[in-house]
Amino acid sequence: MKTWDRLSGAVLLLVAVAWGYESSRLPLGQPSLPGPGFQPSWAAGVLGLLALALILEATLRRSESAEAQRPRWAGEGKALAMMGCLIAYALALNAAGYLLATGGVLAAFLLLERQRWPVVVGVALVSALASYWLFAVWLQVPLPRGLLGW
Amino acid sequence: MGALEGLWLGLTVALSPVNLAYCFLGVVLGTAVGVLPGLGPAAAIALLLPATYAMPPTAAIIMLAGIYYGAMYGGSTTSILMNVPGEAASVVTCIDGYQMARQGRAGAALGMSAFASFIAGTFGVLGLMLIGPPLARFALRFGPPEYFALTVVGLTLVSYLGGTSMLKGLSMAALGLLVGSVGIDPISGYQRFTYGLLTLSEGISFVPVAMGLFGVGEVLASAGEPAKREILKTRLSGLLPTRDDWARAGGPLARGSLLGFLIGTLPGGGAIIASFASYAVEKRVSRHPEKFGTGAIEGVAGPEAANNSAATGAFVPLFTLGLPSNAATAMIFAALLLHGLRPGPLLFTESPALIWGVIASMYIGNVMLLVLNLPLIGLFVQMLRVPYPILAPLIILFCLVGAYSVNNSLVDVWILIGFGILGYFIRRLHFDAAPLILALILGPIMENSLRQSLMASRGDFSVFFARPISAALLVLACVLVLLPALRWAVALWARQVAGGIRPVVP
Repeated sequence: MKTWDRLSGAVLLLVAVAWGYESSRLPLGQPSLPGPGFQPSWAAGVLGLLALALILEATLRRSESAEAQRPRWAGEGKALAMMGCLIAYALALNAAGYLLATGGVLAAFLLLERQRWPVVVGVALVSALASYWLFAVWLQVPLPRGLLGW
Repeated sequence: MGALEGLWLGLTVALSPVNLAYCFLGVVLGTAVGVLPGLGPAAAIALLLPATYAMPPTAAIIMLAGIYYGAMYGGSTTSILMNVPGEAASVVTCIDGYQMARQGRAGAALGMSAFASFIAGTFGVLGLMLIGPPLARFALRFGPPEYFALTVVGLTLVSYLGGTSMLKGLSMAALGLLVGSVGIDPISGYQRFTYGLLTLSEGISFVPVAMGLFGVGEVLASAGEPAKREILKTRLSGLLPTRDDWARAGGPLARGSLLGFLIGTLPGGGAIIASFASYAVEKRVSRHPEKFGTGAIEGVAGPEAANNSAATGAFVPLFTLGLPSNAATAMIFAALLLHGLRPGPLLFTESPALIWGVIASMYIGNVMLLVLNLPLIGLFVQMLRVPYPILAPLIILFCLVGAYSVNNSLVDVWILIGFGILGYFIRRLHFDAAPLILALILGPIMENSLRQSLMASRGDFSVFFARPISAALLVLACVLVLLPALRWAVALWARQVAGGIRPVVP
């Protein structure tokens, strides 16, 4: 975990620097009248210090066994594919409409879970239609209709 | 209003047909959430938050509270029958509960777990009822410095008690504070980090963040786990524990209830730590500690009692100070805000029907849960046969449509996905999501109280140490932060010293 902890510390440090820079562009105010940039600035500063401490702590930590050095990565390929499906869903939602996009993403998830085709089609279709009825028809949520109008 | 008077008012509210129905729905959903591994109460409450918009506020909070304490009952079922905790607070129950099931005593383990949950749950509600009103009256004296100190202590305790590393917990809390600063500044009206997106003006909504971290993140992190889980084939008869079981479980049950309630009231305490603490205490006080891990009923009764009274105890800071102490109560805090209510000490005076209605519903909910978890246990066990590969896409579906329906905006779907991916890495790299979601919710309270304190004191930072309560709380926070750092430095120094001294070989 040492390498991964150092890496996560570095990512957090980057976030802190970027957020700190953005906060510095907001009015900081004075101690007697703190401005909108006051809290984000010190929160970014604290995050930066904690990220540095995380990197330092991981670096000075006693060397670990090969087993402990690895985080519990398992099924990362499938997880990455699922993330890709979710991003594609968000990109396609407005154009494809709720029913098509949701049915599609559910089918993709079920395929990634190695389900048989009848299960994939059945579960995706029924779930997309049922959730459409629940949210769009019953709860009156204006779900995206897409270019095809549904 | 006195406690008995309040309880009477609460019973008239909770016993209305609508509230009874929502209480029943809440505890059934809670039991289901507890039984199903991979879906915790925080995720379930986040998933259902959008659906509560149309409900009356009291009914909504009664239902969401039912999900939280109901999950504590259900979690033990999976622990006992599958050796897989259905809910994080039931991890400890696996140790002796599963061993009891393997010895053919699954019924007694499940029965004891249900009775312990009921007794401790009821004890917790009694504690909430007696402690809540005086604490709320006391909290009315709190000003901005005390609230600032309370939020600091809350976030520090959550980071200290929650995960494996305090540094990682505090980092998540700082990240949550930053995320919470997005939107219009409440004091100056200045737009912060919105980059022209109108949806972000009101801040990053906690619903898609919570759904992402606890729902999507959990599904992504479970991607590599085995899809098939074995349910122990055993008799579920004999759910009533024997006289000997009761004699052995009486002490653990009483100690677990008290310890759980006390831990539950602490920010960051919660049911998980309570169950672990109870197991440790029982093993220490037992005359036969060697029997723990081999199917000792004390190892089931204590932790199950502790996690239930802790779940109820967590409502004490929420209702009296307006400070959620864990992710699930943070979601209930969010629900109160969504329904236009201001969580805090004034709730007892401004909305007595709601508060007492919720408290009274907990008594009723615990009775419902006992009935659900004894005769109907077989029904819930059947739920475990729903394959996770089918369940996971359905969780994703609810997250996606739930996030969209918060503001009818695609931006919330992007936030959900972004925090879902973050949730995956949080789990994989052994960070903890609870401090992030708590900081997101507590951030605005912390910022407002900090700025109001400084404005009132004309920029004098000593205002936080001039008042005894805020001073004591801030000192506690400093000690909590410095303790691990000190321990780490001492260990490092000791290692270096030991490295310099070579052992003398005779």
